[in-house]
Amino acid sequence: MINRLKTYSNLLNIQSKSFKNFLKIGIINELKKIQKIIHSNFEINFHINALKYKKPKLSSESCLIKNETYNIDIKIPMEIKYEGKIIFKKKYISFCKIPFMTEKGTFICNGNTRIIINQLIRSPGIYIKKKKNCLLATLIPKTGSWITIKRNKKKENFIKIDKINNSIPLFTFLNILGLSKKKITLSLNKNNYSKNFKISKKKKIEIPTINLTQLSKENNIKTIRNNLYNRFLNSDNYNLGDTGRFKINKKIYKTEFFTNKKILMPEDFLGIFNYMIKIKNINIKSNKIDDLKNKIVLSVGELMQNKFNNIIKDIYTKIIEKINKFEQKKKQEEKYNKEKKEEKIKINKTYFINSKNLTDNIKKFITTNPLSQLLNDLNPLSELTHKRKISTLGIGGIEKNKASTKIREIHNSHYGRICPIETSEGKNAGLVLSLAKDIRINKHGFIESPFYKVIKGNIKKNKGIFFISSENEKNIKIAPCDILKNFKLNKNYGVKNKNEFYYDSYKSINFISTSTDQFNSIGTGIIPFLEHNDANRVLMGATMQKQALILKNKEPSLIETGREILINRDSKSTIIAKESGTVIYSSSKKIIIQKKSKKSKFKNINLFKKYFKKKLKKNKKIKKHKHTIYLLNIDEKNNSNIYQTRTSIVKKNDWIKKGQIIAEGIGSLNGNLCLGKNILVGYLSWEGYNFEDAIIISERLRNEDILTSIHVKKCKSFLINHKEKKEEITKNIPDIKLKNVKNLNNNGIIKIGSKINGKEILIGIIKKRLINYEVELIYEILSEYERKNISVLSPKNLVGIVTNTKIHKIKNCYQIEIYITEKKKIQIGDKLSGRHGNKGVISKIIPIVDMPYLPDGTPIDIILNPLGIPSRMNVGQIYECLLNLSAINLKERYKIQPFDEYQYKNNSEILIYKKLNQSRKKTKKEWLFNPNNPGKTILFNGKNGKPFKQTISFGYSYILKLMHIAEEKIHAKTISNYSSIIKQPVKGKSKNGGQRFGEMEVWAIEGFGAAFLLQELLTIKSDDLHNKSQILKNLMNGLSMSKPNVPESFKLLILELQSLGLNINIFTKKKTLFTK
Amino acid sequence: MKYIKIYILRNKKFKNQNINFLKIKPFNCPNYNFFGNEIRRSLLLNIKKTMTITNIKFFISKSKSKHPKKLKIFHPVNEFFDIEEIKENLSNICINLKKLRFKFNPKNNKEKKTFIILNSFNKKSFSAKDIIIPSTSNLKIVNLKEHLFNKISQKINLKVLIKIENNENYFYNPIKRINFILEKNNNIGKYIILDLNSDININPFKAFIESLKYLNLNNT
Repeated sequence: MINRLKTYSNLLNIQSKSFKNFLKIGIINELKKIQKIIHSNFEINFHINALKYKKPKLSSESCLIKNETYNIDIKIPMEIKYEGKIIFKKKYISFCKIPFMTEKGTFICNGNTRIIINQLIRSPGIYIKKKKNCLLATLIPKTGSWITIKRNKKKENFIKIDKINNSIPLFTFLNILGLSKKKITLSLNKNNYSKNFKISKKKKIEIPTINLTQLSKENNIKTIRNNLYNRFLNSDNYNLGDTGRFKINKKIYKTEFFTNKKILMPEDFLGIFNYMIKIKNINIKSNKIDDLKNKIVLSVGELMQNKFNNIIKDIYTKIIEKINKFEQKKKQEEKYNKEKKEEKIKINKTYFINSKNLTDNIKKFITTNPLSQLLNDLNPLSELTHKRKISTLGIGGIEKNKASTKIREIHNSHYGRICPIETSEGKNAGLVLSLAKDIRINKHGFIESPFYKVIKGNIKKNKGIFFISSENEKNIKIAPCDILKNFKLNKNYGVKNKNEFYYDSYKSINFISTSTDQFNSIGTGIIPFLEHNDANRVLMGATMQKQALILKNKEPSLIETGREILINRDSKSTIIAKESGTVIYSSSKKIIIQKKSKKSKFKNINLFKKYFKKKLKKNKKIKKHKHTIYLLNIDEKNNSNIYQTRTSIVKKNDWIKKGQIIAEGIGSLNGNLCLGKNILVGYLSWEGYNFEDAIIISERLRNEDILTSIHVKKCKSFLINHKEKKEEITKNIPDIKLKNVKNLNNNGIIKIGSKINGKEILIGIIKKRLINYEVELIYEILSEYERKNISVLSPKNLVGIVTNTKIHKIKNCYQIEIYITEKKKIQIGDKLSGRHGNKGVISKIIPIVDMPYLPDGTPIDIILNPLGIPSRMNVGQIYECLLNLSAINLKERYKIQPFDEYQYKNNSEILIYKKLNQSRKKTKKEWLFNPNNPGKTILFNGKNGKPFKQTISFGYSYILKLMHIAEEKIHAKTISNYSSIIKQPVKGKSKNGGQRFGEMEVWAIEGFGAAFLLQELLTIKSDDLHNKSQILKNLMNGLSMSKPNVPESFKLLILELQSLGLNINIFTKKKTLFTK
Repeated sequence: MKYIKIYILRNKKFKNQNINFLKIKPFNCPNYNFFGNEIRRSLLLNIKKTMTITNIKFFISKSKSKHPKKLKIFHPVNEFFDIEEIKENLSNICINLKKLRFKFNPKNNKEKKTFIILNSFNKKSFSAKDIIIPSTSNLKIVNLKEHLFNKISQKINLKVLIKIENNENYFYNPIKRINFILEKNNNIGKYIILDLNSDININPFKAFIESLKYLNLNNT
């Protein structure tokens, strides 16, 4: 076995490392651009070396409660001089506030937990492309304009800047940049490439007529030169970046001539041209865009730095604007009062820099950028996979609609770096990916994967782990981990080299991968017996694990793969010990840990006496204890409306190591991940109720609360505080029975702990109003108004308990929040699934008596359809099902390594049969294992007690309840809203709207010839205004239905045509104008 | 009238369950499989006459009030409330309480519900032994060693009020597992063997006899 612990790293390392880099280096690099500003008489200095960070005022938990952002303050000393005199002394001013990352890699912005996803984009550098007639070289910088160099078959060379239509000949371009004719010819003559440039005397240079005016308006050489200088040689406008310069260096120069300049030099163009000539002679393959060596990952730090760069440019221009304004004002004043003496110039510290504007600007980035999203915190797994996502969308990335299928495909260089299985389904397939397990990102932004070294067939683990990027993989032969166990000499093995796979001898292998499941992500890595499944179904299994609701009595799965502990560690709700020590106190709200310390002298005895009022002898040693307190409070607020708690695992007087889990949330039990339940399933068809992936469950699952989940619903309301006090919250509501108001407090808000069933009053609100001004006088005298009840009611089908109420004050407005927790039992229409992509909807809940039962009398809990397996090819579910059965009978738990088939042939099948046979011998139940049909027995029909005709496979499988609950989606309409223009019913459940009767549905009724039914649907039931109200009267009076009229939407069509200038009207049969 | 001969092969009490093996020989029964299945179905469907917990309520009060002469006022607390002085969550205590099993011999047929109280004043770990049962009712807790919760400090008093009912709507079946086997012997002929596992609060043999009342054997 391989020592896998070595490669395990912190899974959130990518996020935290890059943000730390931004705070330490990124900010200072950007601030250097405005270090010294000298304009007219002013001189402004920022002392960047003395930059300070101030701790956040509120803790991250209290920010969540108070709806505020968790940020740090940046402070810089500033100095202002005017005509050599100091106006503003060197003093610390608050520059701006930056949102700060919490320990678990999230940001808190206005009380919401958010996250910024990594972006995968094209790296800056040179890309060379072959076309039919020409060779193209494009130069992509980090910021600035793109350049393409084109070389014809006639050996003519041109240059193109951005998307300007006309191109410039390369020779004139180089001339303009400052290279003389001599230098160019000399550098090329050396290598005998003069024939490539057509400058010989016989053949004159054919310069195509171009408009240089497009580059600059005045046809002047100086202006063109200035323009080009500003575009490519000025560091403000053009930046290659570290990776861009690194790539150009590697391609063009020898190692002696490597440079660090971030701008383009004229020599670079010569070098690229030289390289292009080489390619034509040797026929090197052109670069591939989809290869990972041409793509870099931008993390939180880099994305924030790009935003910060833009802000600082704005600051620079604003400061100069303000200086100009100030000088103008001063000149005007001097004109009017020349005789007056010069007064001292006073400037506020907020005159040049307003920190509030800057913080709002940065906050905008976190709230509006498409890469920053609300954290999906349904369960610990969904949290982690969201943090390890990679997206090619966003600013500077690929557009969703234009992306072709070629971009979305898997590339060979993805092995060990990006998971080939886990992507999002639908529109974003192949564009939003997830990172593989043990990867690392290097300083240039390329993804690296770990390998062991192999020398002449010997694996050298002692030499440590080598991280290899796709660029370095060129001349290396890599073998997969599968061959480790049966490594024999004189045999050929499958090898990967230069994005190709072939067989080669054992001696040529250079590196070997560290684990069998190195290539896949964390979400897919949890699935046991992954290798027996089709990849499409594994994708579904991985996405459905993210949607699993956490159930009431949690239960870990009996088969694991060994990554579950890592997932819990990075969850939001677990607490990890910061220092090692002993536990003094642990309860449901607090844990205190004492650090072990040596006896030492107390330095200042007088101070000690002052505080503790004790007499001390000289030189007496005192023990100093250091306590660290961990609070277990957790807020109800959650992005996915799940009930949360936090419980401590440790006891009093336990010794705790640094990095150990102390307290855990709702998704884990003693370090094990809990997503579902182990339930007895059988694969048979039962009276047709499980046709097409439907699922039958027994009543036991509902009555014994096995599949119930707990949810929290938030009700919100605002109260605007006017001076006239038009609205008010009170308990005294007119025209309402005492029964309905008994749960309200005196201030009008509902009590904590009261039960809610259906529509009940949560907040009692009254509106005062006046009907007539004549009556006003009477009311004024009596000091009473007419009061109207507009109190907030709970939603229709809600049954639960009020657990918390909150009141926030925002300026003139009060915000009242009420939290209601409810338990949801399982119902018909809920969605269940296994871990192998076998999903379905519950069709029937039947009593225990009718369920088929095992030979010892225990009834089955869930019936699945056996026809769901052969066409879907997810055989892993049967392996899991049978191994779980022996696990429960033997009272064991198993840890199964993915791809364990490499140890010997049919390994997992042999293991399962062995374990089943063992459990048969131990429990003396002969029917558990039958060698003639292993894994199957005869079950009995619950209705008549007779055995079924054929043997049936059964076992325990880990079943998840997904978040798609039928109760939240079911909807029917009685009286609804109508849209304002066409008067048709609106759609959607939240607006209480109707179901759309579309084109296809009309065809269906036309097919039956039911004309009157169709007319009724299109007129009276939707937008015939007059008859809609008339029909109720007719029904009550016993009259017949009135004839339908012209619908409102048709009238609108005619009005629109009339507004185009067409003379169209509706006429009746008697050829008179239709007026209604 | 039809006669049934019953042998008790095994009758044992365990910590968690009672086990019973019965041998049944019905006379003049043409279809033994039907007879066995009817017994199985009636045992699972009809035996529900046991007392179960239907409602639990929690109350707390301060142990030391400022005015010692005043009465202690207990405030109601909901299930999702966390108390620092008690180590477990209240919802976990609810789960522990529902593991309790009761025996009940009513004096009158009218008596269908009782209330039991758990007072916690001291600092210790509480189990089912500490529950107070009113002397008038003939209720008995079977598993007295069941752990309920730990109380860490004396600052607070917790009172738990539990309602026990014989409610037919509330689903609870004391019979855990039931199976029947048909066997044949040369001396006796055909007979049925019943394998019965039940909760500790009922006697499986009595339950079996009670289930025979509900049988409808007219078809045999």
